[in-house]
Amino acid sequence: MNTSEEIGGQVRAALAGESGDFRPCAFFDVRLDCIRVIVRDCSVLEIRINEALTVLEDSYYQESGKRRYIGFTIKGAAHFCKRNGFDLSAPIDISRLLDAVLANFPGRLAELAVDGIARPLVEDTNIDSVDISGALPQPAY
Amino acid sequence: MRTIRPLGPYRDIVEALSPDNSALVVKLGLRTDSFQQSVHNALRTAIAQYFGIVQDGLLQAAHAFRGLKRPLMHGDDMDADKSVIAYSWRPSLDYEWSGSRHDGNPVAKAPLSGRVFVVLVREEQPNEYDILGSLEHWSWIEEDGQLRDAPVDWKERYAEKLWSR
Repeated sequence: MNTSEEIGGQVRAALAGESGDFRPCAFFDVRLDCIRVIVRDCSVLEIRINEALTVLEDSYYQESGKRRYIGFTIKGAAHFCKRNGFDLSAPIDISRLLDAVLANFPGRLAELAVDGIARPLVEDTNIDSVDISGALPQPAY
Repeated sequence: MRTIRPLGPYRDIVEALSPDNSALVVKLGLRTDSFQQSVHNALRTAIAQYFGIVQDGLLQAAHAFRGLKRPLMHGDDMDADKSVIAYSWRPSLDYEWSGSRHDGNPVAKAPLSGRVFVVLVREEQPNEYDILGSLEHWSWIEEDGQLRDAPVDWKERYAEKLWSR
């Protein structure tokens, strides 16, 4: 059985050379073609809203007393952005992207997830945009 | 605890049950560039879950599924969703980072009931390293009401179930 101290040592070794603490972030996961917005580093329960959107719930929010929802994922992001006329070569405005998600996947649950969870997260943490240019064909060197 | 085993483009190599035959063991790799995404964003909890749950736990998988039921474009491959494998099981412990980056440690926690751990793997082209796929993502998902140790609504999530045990 791995002890927490041993695992902690592995984590610190992995992060050696990285100077920063966690900060709310939005990034493009190129290998799974999704945008991940994460505002707190914690164990997460992923809750699927529809084929385009998943929200992230703090696994232990009831004991931590902290904010229940700590992020969301926009899946099939490159597909979705291309189909909806976003320029993949420039940073994408997350608020506009959420508008497009709602327009493409209407419904009460999606509204709750977008307007009740995703928008407040990005507004409270000033996460404005995300770079998904990694989805574009990469030049061969 | 075993040390990491770097190999070519992989930060670490782990063993898992073959997607096509749960009686066979295959090798999967954690790509350095994928791992760096978590490192760069200081996602210590996800990294701790890798070392505490994924690294030695994948062999405990109760189910394997193939194909994500959502668009996935990777490079020129518009059908990359078809090459994703999902493993699910119920680990005995979860890990969550607590404290600062200098003196913090992961805290072991008993997972809440009704939750399963899911690891997504992308199948790779046969390569010189004999690696069948790359570990891409892991997280907790609510457990299905009918199929124990499987994620809820698995039929909505994945194209097919490969095996259960």
